[in-house]
Amino acid sequence: MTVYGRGYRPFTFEPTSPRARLWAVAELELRTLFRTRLGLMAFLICLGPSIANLGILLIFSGVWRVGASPERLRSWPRTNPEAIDFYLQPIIGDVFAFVIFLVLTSLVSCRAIAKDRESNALELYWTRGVGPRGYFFAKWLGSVLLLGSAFVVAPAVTWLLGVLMAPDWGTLERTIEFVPSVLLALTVFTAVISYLAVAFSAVAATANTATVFWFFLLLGTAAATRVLSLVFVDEWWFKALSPWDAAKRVAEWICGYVPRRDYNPAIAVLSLVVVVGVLTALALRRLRRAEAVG
Amino acid sequence: MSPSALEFAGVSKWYGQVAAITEVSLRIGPGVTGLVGQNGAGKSTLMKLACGLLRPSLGQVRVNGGSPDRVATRRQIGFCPDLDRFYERLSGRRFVTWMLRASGLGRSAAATRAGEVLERLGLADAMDRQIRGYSKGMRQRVKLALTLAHEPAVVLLDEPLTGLDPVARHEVGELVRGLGHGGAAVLVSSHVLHELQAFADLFVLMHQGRIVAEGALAELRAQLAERPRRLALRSDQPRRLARRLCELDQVSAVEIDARGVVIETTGGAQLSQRLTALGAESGLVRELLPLDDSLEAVFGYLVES
Repeated sequence: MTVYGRGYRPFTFEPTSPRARLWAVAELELRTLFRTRLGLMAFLICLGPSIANLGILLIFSGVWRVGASPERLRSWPRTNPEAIDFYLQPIIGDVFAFVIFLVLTSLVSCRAIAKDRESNALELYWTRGVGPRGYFFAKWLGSVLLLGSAFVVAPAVTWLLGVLMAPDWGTLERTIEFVPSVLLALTVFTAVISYLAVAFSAVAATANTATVFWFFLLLGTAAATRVLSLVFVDEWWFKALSPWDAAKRVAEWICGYVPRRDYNPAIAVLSLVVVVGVLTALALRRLRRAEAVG
Repeated sequence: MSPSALEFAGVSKWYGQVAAITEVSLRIGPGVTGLVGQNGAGKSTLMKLACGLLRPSLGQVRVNGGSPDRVATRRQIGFCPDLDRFYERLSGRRFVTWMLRASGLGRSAAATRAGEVLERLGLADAMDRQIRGYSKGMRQRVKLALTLAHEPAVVLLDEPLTGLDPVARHEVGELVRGLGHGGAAVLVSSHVLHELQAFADLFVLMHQGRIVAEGALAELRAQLAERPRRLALRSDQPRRLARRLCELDQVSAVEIDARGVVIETTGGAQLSQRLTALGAESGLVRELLPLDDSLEAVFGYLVES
């Protein structure tokens, strides 16, 4: 330790890999939400669907006796722990899920890079062995891990608890076929949506601008598909114009779920590829060193 | 020639049509070098080119022989930017730890190192508090900790004295001087020229994107030999002294002020002898002060010329 005085010499670095450097950035992002009470509360609210599912599981397994019988719960897919809807719909299916995703991505993913640009913190990274591409990847990774803990890990834990609390292994036998693919679908869905949000964040000048545009993108395209549904009565391909709906269709396709308003998942994939491609190109252009610090 | 830790070879940098730096060639070795220039002179651009944040439009920048584009080279650089860039909700210790980890230190080594450096910089009591509660001086110290924690061979400090109180300015000055004496190549830009003068050994003067002069202060003043020097002579009898001074050939101008006389002269050692004799003979001169040997004066003359 020779910060002062004579004997000054370059510090001997441990042979850490680029992965370790990027993990430090990802970890910083992962913890962002938990530094404020508001963030913590938002995260707990986002666990709402999984907590509700846990309650249903407790009733279903007979641990919590409130009158509803397992047979009654089985009669509706949304409350039947042995149906795919039970795990999939609370995360990607209904309006509440949409709002939760919108809130969490607005608080975390779509501010991730914009807030660093706003405070010119990018300079700190660029002079520390973290390049623009690695930085972007690390921010996305941190964001995926955070969102994934609410939208993938929580449903997985809920399912595991349900299986363990059940009186026999019947629940496991009836769900093991589809739960892994549902978890994979939720992972892909979370990864795609958070990628789009982080890319938005990289393109925007400020965190607030990114948040506003992200809201407009998700809500605007969702509204547009509603309007188009009045024009195209029996066609549903236009839903792929909304990144949310496109990612949802891809997730449904991965786990073999057939929605009421079905359309070819290839259209959804194509739509996402175009949006991801355009946003990635714009994001990397905006993160170029001269661009970012000029 | 001393080994150059930082080298600019014919470097130009344009932002669109605007030339920020024009054909800068410069070698900076161990020790403290002060970078002086007005706003927009190109000081920050020069710093950013040195640490790889910007790429030159023309020419080459080398840090210990390597390109600052390479990660291995950037590890040898410590850059202290001129603005506060922090994660306000992190503590000083966590922030420095995280940045050290991003630099390539392991988790525990980074934490230990961060604590040590912040303690050395006088933040032992505050390092576990959130940065948003820090004063300007404490923030400046956190920036310095970020810059110095990995003991870089090349240290780039952009306005490190901004916002510091006089005690902190002195401490930072001592720290910078210590880095230079220890063998690091330190490039410091500052608007506080008299303080820069106190801890820098060499100076680089920039104006409108070009280097107008470089070297030790005495060398820079010597480059202006044709320009009359201004001397203040303290005296209890300024009118009488002024009359005597007017008789001297080397004195080109004489002004009387409240505390004595100010003269302009092109005379060297011979004039000094005459003035010394004058003081000894009649007691007319109590004190002799050069007015334009300071960095500010030299810079002012060079920019004018």
